[in-house]
Amino acid sequence: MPRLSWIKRLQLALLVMCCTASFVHGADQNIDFAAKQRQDSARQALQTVKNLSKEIQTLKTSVVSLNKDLRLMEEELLFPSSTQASIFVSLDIGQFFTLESIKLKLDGKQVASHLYSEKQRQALARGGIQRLHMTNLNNGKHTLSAFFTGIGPNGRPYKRAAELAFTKDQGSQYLELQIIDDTAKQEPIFNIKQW
Amino acid sequence: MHCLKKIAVVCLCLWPLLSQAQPVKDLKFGTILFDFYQQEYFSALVGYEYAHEKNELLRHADEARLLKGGMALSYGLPEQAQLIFKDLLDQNVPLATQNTAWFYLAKLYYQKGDDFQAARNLARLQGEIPSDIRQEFNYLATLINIQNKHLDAAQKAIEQVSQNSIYEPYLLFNLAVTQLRNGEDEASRKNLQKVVDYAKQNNAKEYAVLADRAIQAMAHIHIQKNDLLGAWQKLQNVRTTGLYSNRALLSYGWTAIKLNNLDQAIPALNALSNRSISIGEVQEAKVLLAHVYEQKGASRSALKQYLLAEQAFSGGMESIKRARKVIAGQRIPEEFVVNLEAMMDETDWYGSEPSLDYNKLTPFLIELMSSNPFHSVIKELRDLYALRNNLDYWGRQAIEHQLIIKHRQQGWSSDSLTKFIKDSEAMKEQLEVGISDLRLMTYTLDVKEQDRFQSLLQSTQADFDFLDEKLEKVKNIKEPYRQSEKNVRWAKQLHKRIKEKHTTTDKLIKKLENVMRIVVNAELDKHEERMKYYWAQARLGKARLYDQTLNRIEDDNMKKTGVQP
Repeated sequence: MPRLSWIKRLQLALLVMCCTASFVHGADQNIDFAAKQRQDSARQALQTVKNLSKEIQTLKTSVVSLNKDLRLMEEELLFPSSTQASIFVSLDIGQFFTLESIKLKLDGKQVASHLYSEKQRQALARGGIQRLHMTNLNNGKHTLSAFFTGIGPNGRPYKRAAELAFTKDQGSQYLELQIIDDTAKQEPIFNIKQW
Repeated sequence: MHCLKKIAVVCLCLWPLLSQAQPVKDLKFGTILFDFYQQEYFSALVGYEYAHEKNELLRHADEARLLKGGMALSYGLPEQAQLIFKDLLDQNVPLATQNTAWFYLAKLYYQKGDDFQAARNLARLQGEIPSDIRQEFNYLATLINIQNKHLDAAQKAIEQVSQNSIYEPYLLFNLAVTQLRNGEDEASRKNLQKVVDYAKQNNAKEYAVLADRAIQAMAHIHIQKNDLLGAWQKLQNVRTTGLYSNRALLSYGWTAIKLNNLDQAIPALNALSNRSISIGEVQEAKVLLAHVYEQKGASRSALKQYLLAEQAFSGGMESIKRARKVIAGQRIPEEFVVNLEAMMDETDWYGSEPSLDYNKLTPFLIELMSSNPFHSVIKELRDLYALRNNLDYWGRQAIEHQLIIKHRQQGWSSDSLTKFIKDSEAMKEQLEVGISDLRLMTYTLDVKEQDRFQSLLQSTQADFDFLDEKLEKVKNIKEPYRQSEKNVRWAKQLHKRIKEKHTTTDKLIKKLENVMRIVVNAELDKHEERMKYYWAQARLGKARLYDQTLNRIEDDNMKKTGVQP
């Protein structure tokens, strides 16, 4: 069961804060110390945040847009579309396999490895796709090998590999490492798809 | 006054998270989802803009736009989110997309505190609710029903659809408190008991904390009915550790005192008295404990407790001074905001001695943490710090970009290319001569040795042919690669924008940090005022005891001398 963050918990509890404050059966708990200062400062804080809200929103939007432009420019500089190759990872439910790590070899050389956190596994299981690696490749024949480790059916350590020989043509090359549940065999299938 | 209608919740069983995965048709859409599901909204929004610019979301256009709206809302861009949802609803989009847009709009209004608009938008959802928002929809609908006093509808909704959802105990608790305010004590008590039962079945810290609060609320019901014994029995079940134990221990102490059960009050007040002086309940307990001893006629113990309390208050005032210095520090607001989550998740952190500078602040800010104005400041500040880090990163990348551009511009020219070809051809001729010399030399060897060299010569010839082929390709280059002037200009423009945005971010951070300092100082004022109040009470108690003792000595002396006191 997913857990709520502390902020969420505080917010949920906040709804009833003022009411439960009086649950203390004491003499002095109802004295509101420095009430005026606190009310003034809270009002000032809210007002400042409100005044700055538009400016902050504009800044956030423009930094998102700047990041997009920088990403496009950097890609043009380092990974031009004629040589660009990207490798993605996807997971179909993950009922028969808990992904722990992936090692990636391109033409026999290790180019990437990744250890997965629970958060990332959940994101993959819900339909997210991870871009694992981006590189430049010449046109022509290449071989991609991926080594998957994790926990397989019956909670046992599981290691599998998948390999694909492919030809890189003009333009960007996208490859997807797919981890698919085979419900008939009750085990995972590892596949590499060329887009 | 608007008449708010009841919102019906969706009576379908909740799908488990795992079955929500849908096949993705565009890889780039999947990468946005990957960030979104990890609540990395900034990266997800950048991913969306990037993929959108490259036309890579064609098969998920509406879905991606809806997702962008949801992400914008979560990332604190309500105006952009509102525009997206309204724009989507103006178009002829599928019902599921419409429903999700209405839901997000309702959530947006709810966050703005506009319950009426939130309820109106939720009521616009038709047919089947998309599975990915169903749980949140039911939660929001129930919350709004509770706030609008449709308590029966809320109760039914919790029983029918929210059972076993992570929101169930919170909804039950909120409903119970509203029922209590409404005078529905019995219904409230039942729901509070459900919260306690839920915590017994689900072993998590957050539910145990909520159960503690539910027990306190039940004790409160007993107190209202003048059933002090019933309240006291309830309070015995509150844990003596955890966030709300201070309040429970104090209530327990007070109830015991009112029941004239002074001996039972002492252990609870003693436990509380040993905790951090920054906690309001602890300050009250210190004075109360001394007062209880006084009531029992144990003047010595009472005097000792008053003296200890005075000492503790003096230390507490010093802590407040230190906390004021900490918040005035340069880097503290950022460290404090960034580490807030880790600090809040520490077990019983409020009872332990602070080790880090910003931890000296936290004991005083526990109540402030749950206030909306402070929370808004913290949230915006955290986002701004993240933006500054992002711009710092791009600032460093910009240096590398310039380096790459500079090297490429200093690279091949037409002259250097011609020289390279000329040199290579000269070397080729030399190598050809060398290979043919070697071949001739092998003929002087015996047959066995000739065979041995044959394969070596063949492999050398193959390498030579490969290089020759490459040289032919280089010869065909009419003009060497040049860095596009357009790209160079583009990079320069972007680098300039990084600096501009950095300046704006710094300016906004400074403004918000000042607000944060004002709010924190006001909170520290509250602590100072309260501490002074209890300190004065301790002094009064001490003076009273000294006075009594002096009077007694005087009386005794007078008795000895035979004078009537």
